[in-house]
Amino acid sequence: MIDSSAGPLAAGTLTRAGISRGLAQGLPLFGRGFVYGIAFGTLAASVGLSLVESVLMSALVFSGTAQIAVLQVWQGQPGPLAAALIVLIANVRYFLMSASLRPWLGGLPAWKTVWPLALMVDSAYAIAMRARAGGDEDAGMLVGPGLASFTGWVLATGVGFVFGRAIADPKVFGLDFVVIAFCVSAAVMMARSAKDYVPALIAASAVVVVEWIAPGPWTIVVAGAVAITAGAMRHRESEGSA
Amino acid sequence: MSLTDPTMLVIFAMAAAAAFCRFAGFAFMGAVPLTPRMRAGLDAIPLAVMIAIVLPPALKGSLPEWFGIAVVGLAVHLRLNELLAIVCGMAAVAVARAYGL
Repeated sequence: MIDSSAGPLAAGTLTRAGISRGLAQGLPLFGRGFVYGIAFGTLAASVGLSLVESVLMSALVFSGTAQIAVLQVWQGQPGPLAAALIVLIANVRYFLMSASLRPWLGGLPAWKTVWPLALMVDSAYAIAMRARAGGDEDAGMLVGPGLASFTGWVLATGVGFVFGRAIADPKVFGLDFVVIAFCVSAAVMMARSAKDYVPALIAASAVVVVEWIAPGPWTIVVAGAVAITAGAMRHRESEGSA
Repeated sequence: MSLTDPTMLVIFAMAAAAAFCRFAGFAFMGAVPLTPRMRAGLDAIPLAVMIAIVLPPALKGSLPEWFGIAVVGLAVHLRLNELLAIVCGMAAVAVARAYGL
């Protein structure tokens, strides 16, 4: 179980064994990244990117939703600024997720924090947080799944670029469900070890409201912002002067 | 194709923006003191993020997704191996779709 009573310097580790463990746990993310990469590669070919540009974009940006969003407006020739802005909006949730890694990875030397941060995607984060809730403090549980996802994504961008149109609908195999499945599993594990359900309940209510008024990429950001506020306020309530 | 080609500039700008999103939150939290209260706030984020990812598709709710979520939730609750739980969930979704639910 996670020991929140340990001081703020209670740090995670990053070991080769942890990365192997993470790779094994994150293997389905290779498949998921592959499926999305096929879709992206196909799209990239159809809007007129070159093979090298497509693969390079996937390797450097590593964000499916953001890249697809940019390609959707590609015909309007977006400049660097517009493209960067789209990526920022699509990925602003990573800001909060990366902030939430501070208590865990803050004690690691800087060069060891580069890999978990650079390879962070939703499903890898889900696996890592689930592992952490179960007592595994190794950042390899973020690096491994991230690496599996990255490899599938980049490889498949090339494959999709070349063969895209020949591949059947991934929905038939339920492959589009992988991220949700990981997050459900992570949520059950985290809920089991959570000391305080209130921030999560408030965040869930916020999600319902936001989805009702204006669904979109902001939902996760709002949930994170609500949770950090509620979590911090509840802490003062329950433990007096901190 | 050169490194200052317009398309390459767009790609580099996108890469910089993505990296900023991944690193800035962590860096920012290194600059402000990590008080126990701040820590309690940060620790509340992961579960909220998971809920925010799962809830919207569940709210739009077609039956196969509901079925898949229930199967994964139950499997993890019964302490089944995680990978097995994920695969069961995917299979549940695929089967439900195959039957046109």
